[in-house]
Amino acid sequence: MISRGARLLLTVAGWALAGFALTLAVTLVVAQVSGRQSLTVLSGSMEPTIRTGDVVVADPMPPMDAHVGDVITYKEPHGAGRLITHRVKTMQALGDKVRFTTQGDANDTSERWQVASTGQIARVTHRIPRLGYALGFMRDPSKRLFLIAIPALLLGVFELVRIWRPARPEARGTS
Amino acid sequence: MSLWQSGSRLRRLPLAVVEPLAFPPAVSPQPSIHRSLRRVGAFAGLALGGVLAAIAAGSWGIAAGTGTAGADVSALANLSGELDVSPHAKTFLRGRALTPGDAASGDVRVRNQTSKPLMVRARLRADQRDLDRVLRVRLQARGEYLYEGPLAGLRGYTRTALRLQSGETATLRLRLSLPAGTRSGYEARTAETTLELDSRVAR
Repeated sequence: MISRGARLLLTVAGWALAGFALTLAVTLVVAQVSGRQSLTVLSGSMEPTIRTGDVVVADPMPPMDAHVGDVITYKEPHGAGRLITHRVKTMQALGDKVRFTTQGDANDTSERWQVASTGQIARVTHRIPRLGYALGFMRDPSKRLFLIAIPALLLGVFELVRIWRPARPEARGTS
Repeated sequence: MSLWQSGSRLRRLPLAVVEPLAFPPAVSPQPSIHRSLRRVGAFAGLALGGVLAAIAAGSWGIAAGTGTAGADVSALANLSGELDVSPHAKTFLRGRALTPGDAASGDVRVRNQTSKPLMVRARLRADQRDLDRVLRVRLQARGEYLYEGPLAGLRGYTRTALRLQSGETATLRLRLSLPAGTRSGYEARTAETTLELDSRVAR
């Protein structure tokens, strides 16, 4: 049997975990509602600043608001519209375009691209380590079943234990 | 004991079922110390988790860049029918990543290739107007200023003219600078300028 002290400790730890997850979830939802984007990082080109599987929060802004050294997310101009997150090395306004040179922290080559000055890029402000793996897990329908099955199973076990557990003397007559 | 009327008959009901409805207890049973402790523990844990998440979110922040992309400037000179310009159609002034306090300068040689004296005026045109207000221009020849002021002011020809006798050569010195007190408006901006010369026969 678990002692009362240990049970109290478990309660605190469990609720602390719930509070931690809840605060992060609320923060992400608020960020999303306020126009920010949360994106899962799929490659290691920005390591060690941002690792594969991290979720980054990016704040949209006009290209001219960027600074050298910012980590920005932009749409690959000549690709399939992939989003890339790299660091600004240089930037230059040329008429109605802004030309950027960006590079991943782990890369040894940089890329040059341009965007309309009225266009949009996003500055990465935060990262949440490894959350992307959990989100990826939840997106898979077959794995999502576990998210329902496991809590349901735990709830069932908890209820069975509660029903079969002998009532404590001080608890008698209060049910 | 309490009674409950159903239709015209009176039924006697067990005390345990009816009493809480008829006579609710004035004071609810006090939770045990352990239950209170667990409740306090749950609140404390929730608060602790929230605080930890806030601290973690702070430490997971990614620093914004502080670097400033300076202004890029360049100038080339166009030929004129009466004047031989060297270098022409080539960049004679280039400044990269200029920040407040920086300047770039370059020289152009002009020669009157006509048989008559000429009055030469100059203007500087930029494709973009981004730096029109912040970039300072100084154009001088033979130690005298033909123009000094913002780039926007040199979109038209200079009022002051340079007199060139037939066959005479003079050097035009162009200086583009960002004043030390410039706070903004130059970042990542570009001014690709062209020096255009106009010459009229001197009277």
